[in-house]
Amino acid sequence: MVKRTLVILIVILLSIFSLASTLSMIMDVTGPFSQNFNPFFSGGTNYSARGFIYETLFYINGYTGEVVPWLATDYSWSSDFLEIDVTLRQNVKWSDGNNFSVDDVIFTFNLIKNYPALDSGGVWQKGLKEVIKVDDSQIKFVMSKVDTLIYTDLFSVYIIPKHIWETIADPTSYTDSNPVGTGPYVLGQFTSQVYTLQKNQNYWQKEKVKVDTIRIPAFTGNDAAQLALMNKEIDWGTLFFPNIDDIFVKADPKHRGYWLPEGNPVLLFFNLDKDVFKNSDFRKAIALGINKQQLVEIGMANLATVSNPVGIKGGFSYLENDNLKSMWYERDVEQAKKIFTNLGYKLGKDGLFVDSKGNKLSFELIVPAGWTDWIAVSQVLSSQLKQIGIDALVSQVDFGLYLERIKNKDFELAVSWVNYGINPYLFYERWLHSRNAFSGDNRGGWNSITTDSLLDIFRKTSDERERQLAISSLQLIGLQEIPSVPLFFNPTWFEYQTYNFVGWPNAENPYALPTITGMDKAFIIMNLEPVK
Amino acid sequence: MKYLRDKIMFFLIALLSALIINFILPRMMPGDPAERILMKMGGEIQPEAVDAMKIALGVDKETPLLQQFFSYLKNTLTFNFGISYSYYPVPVKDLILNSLPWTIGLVGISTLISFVLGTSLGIRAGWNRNKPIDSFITICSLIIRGFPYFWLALILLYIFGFLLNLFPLSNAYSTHEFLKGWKFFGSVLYHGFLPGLTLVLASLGTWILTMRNNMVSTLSEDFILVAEAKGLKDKDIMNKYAARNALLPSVTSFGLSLGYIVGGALLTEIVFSYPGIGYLMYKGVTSQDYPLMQAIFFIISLSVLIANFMLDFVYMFLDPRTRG
Repeated sequence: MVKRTLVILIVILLSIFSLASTLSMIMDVTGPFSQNFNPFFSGGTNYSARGFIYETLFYINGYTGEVVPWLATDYSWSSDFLEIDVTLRQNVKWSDGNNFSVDDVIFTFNLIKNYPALDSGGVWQKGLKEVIKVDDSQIKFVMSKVDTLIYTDLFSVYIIPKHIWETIADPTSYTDSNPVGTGPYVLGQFTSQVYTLQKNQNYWQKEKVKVDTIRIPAFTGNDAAQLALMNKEIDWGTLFFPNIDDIFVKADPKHRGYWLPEGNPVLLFFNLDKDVFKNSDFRKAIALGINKQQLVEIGMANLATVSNPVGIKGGFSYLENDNLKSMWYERDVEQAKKIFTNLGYKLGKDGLFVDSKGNKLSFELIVPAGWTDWIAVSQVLSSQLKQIGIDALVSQVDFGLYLERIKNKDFELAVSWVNYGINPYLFYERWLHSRNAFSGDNRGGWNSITTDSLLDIFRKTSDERERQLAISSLQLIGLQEIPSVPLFFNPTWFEYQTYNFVGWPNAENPYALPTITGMDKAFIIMNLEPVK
Repeated sequence: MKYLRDKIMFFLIALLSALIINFILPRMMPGDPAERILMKMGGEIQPEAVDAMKIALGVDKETPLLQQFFSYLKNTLTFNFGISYSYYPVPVKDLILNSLPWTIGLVGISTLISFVLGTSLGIRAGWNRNKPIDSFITICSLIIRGFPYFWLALILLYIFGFLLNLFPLSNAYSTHEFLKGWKFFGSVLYHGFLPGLTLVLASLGTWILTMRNNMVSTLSEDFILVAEAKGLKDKDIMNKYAARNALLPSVTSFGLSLGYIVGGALLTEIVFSYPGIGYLMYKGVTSQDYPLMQAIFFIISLSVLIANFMLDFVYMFLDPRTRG
């Protein structure tokens, strides 16, 4: 037995060292794999189909927002913004050798029209009316209403081969176990504990792909995954990793790095349906009680980025209105207390404000149970608010119940997030548009006709100047009215080591967003070079 | 025969109650499966994807509860568990078939080893009560039982897996190469060793203590005194008189733990990234995956009930008094 163990050990050690042209990555910590590569659904294996196996018409860079030609080479709007002409790339082949054509694209869009369950970008609901073949290299998207941001959704649909999917009886329950795509990789070997992707020899930009094989092992828990990363068994990690500097990087700073770009913003939401929060001075006073730097330092182990009061990410700082910067607020305990006093509240002996009826200003602050970093943030927040005379009781609520209570307006304060999307326009729309009130990302329920009409400008024009004017006015609303308080941006977890491959994106070279859910990972892998 | 009829009736009633509870409990959870699944990570997913997911799962429309119940009964009893929500569109059956063999292999074998080892040590300790060997075994088992077993698992993983590099860190077989035949089997044993060791250690103490205490109380019975007076050999008294009687409660717990094997060992699976039903169940519950949850809970209840049922027969054989 000892001998066999030793033999196996040596075999394994040897195989680790002979992996030079193989890149190992952690796709998602979700347990054993099922052979499910349907690109229209979410999950570890599905994510690897997106970008590595199937591709979109354009690649929209998640960090810069740049639209990069991919399966299509060019697009143009009609003057009334109701049509987009798209030119497809020639000489693209499916991995089974068939030619990629206009018909595949039209088939894909009609498929997600007939099966709304597959339309994860909601393009047919947003006003797409028809997809027309112009000739062998051109298609025309026809819209029923003006929406100048719809291109981001149209260009993010994964194109599937007509000759295979037209024979599938029910594509919504199709696991696509042997996917045929246009992308850089094809499925190699598959077991429930590990699978490999092999370079696609028919790929249209084959010369850019220098990683021959991608190995993706299954992980059930973070502990083993972190140790595997530490053990150099993994080149590309997407793990939650507290103390990352001390534990991971310090052991070999030359070869190890991480980059935690700004993910979705986390905000403090007021339930604007409750009378007490309808007063903007009251909201302002609470906002003045918050020390965001401290929230990030203690609650997020200093691994998150503090948000400015207008919620605009660093990459888009050109959209910040400089004239409004004098209104950007900082923690100011005295000012906050003054506002409460002016509003008629009295400071009690215990340091908390009471209203005219003698009720304490005491609110429940809800946060999803088990989200340890956010819970820590909420606790720090609660102690900060106590200093301005507000009692915020942190209450951990089961995630499903948490979402339901927000939807039903059954909360007072909530720490929650907004999906940022690919640019601040989408963020503002989700955050403040009344159609997203409570049920969508507008969790506090901000409802204002002025705000809505400013937000609607984004989708009515393609003139960047007009959009910038609108977002300036919206920043003013955010600073004056304080519908909710932007706190910080959640980190996007990304770790890399350069023992086998170099060329990773990082803070010095932020060429793409290191997320694994979409096309970005394919773009990144084409920027990697094996170490000789 | 009355004994047998009663037992079968009990089995059927218990199964039906389990089926009903299994249907009701998950539906009392607040929230919406599509949101739970997609928003888990603080959302890299677009809000539109949640709407699409709801249509795919069929939760965009309300189905009457009674109608849901009858289709649930029919599907469960025909072992047709439907499509999982959280691993859409993979059939639940495939997910379970992927995990169950690993769980039965790992948890089953470790339970058996732990039971045999623990019980025989318990017999020794009980027989030699208040001698140094008894104190040694008892104290050791108390200490082992005091460890939180996931912590033990973490320590073993860190020392033997990471620092000494003697055992693999994760997974059920090599993920560096695709092995076949005996090599594959060897790799499975090699990967299963540490998680198995954790599970054996985790339950060993309880087996030892149960058996020891039963032995001690049985040894004070009159018939043991009679047997000694008759001049029987110590070995015979220990095994045939004392141990056989003291074994009954341990057999009961063993039977029950056989039933619970299919429930998996969640924390061990998570620490060692071992595929198994425990993690699947956890995933099912946290993402409100009704089909998956119901299938696993059904299998667990069924196997616990079957284990109980079988146990009643073993009892008939072990203890003549129950035949009455």
